[in-house]
Amino acid sequence: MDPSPPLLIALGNEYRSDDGVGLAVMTKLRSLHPDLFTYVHHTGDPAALVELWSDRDTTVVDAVQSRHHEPGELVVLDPLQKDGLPTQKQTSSHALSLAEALELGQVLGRLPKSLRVIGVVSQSFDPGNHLSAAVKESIPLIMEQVKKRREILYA
Amino acid sequence: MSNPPPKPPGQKTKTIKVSYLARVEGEGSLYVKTKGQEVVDVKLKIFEPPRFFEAFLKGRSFQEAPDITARICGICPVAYQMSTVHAIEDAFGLTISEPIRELRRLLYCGEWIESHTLHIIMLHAPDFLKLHDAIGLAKVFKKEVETGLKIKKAGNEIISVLGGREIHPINVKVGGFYSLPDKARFESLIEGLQWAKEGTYDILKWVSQFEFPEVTIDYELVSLVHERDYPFNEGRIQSSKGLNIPVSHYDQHFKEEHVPHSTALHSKHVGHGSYLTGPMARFAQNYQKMGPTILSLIEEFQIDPACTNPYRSIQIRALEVMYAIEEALRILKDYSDETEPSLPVTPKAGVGYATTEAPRGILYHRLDLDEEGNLKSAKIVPPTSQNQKRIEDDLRQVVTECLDFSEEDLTHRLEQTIRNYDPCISCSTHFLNLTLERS
Repeated sequence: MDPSPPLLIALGNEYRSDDGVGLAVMTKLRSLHPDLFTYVHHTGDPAALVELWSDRDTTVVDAVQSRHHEPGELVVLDPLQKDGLPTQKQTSSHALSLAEALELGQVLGRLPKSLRVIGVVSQSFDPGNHLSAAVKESIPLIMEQVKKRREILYA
Repeated sequence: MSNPPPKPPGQKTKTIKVSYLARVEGEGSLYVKTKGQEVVDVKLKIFEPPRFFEAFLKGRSFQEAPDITARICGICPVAYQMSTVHAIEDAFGLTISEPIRELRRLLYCGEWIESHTLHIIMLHAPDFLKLHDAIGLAKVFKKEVETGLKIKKAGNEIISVLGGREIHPINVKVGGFYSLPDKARFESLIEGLQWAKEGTYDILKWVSQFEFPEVTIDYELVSLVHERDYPFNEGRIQSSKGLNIPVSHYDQHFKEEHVPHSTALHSKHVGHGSYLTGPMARFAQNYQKMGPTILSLIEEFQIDPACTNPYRSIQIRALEVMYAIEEALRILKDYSDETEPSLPVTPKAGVGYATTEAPRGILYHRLDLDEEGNLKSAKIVPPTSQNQKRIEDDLRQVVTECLDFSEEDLTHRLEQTIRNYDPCISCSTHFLNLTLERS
């Protein structure tokens, strides 16, 4: 068994409505099970992500946008094995996306040992620290998915 | 980089479009029109909506202001916090203690290290090596990218320990800091910084081997100049063309104007025109204060402090990273556990002024407060806004000198020219697709 607990990374900005869902999940889970994961609320800076997740079992919770799903639905991806991640290379920014962080990690030989990305389809990214009802309702399901991931890893 | 060979004659009309210029912050576009050998028009179009931070500040307490302005930028939040607290302290007539002054310099060192290293490695270096991006760079120069990431981490750690978190720090207040870490926590930073010093030497050596386009531009260089130190938070505003004013006179000498193609205001030095602020300006006017290590590096790598080739700004940034590391180590070594985190603050009605040196250049604040310390009005002039007109002037010169380049080479050169500035358009309000018309 890996001596350090697996990583749970919450991405997102708690002041942009549903973008704060990762942090909300992380806060609740940590209060119930402080030792289950190493909990990290992260800005998404790829340099830091690459360092953080290198060779560790990692679960990422983040808000996502999708035209094909309803708010509150979960999109669970296994980017290392099959799914990949959508890239935002067309946006022009200092900040790279999670997909680019993964690509950078691959080039530098610093990938997670395993990775699950739990995307929570979101309704609003407006300023404000309140989750939409649909996203709020999905929190128990997200927590269940995260815990299940932990069980699978250490079965 | 040597100039590419001229394109074959016979192509009179050309349009070049680049959907987005990568490796800059924010969104916009560039329009270039030429007629024969004449450059008719150059517009750096910034169309991202205004962000209204000055309006957000109206009516808010002085206690909230540093945390609001920090949100202007995720790359340089410390700069906004520093200009804000110094402007408010100026209005209140509050002089901070020497230990707090030192710790504010330390926090700024963290930001310079992380911001400059990000730009050198992830954004600017690929230009010189004709690589698409940082990931392409990492495939060829893995060691250098890893070194850069580790240096950046050392800067982030400073901000995290002293600022409370890496992005948008939460520990800065008018009068000082909310709390201070103990000496042991500060000492934990030293090992990473000592490693970063060696790493930065390697990066400086690496970038100094790049081939630089041969361009000399007649800049008016504008920066803070402090009597003793390489400037972060204090000093007079001076220029290479004779300006020497206290920061409170900024509005008398620099004017912002609206141009139809940009949601960011253009700044001008009244009676002079565009000017350059940032690492090259700071370095040219202050390099003597960087200490013996940097002075020996300037000699070793034959860096001319009077150089006005903007492509060499990558070397200056590396020197500034080295300076910030040395300065951080000095401050950490001298730190005492007995330092009071902040001074008592008594609000007072008045107008306060501050200019500090953000990684990209001078960041001006004028804040008007009532007797309870609530903000009546705010004026914030970010460095990218100040450099925007200068960027257009650089582009005009580069297009003029490179008219015979192929479309691909000219586009690359223009993008590289913009990235010399490490523009942070989300601060100014935001960037790039390129349209080039030739007739």
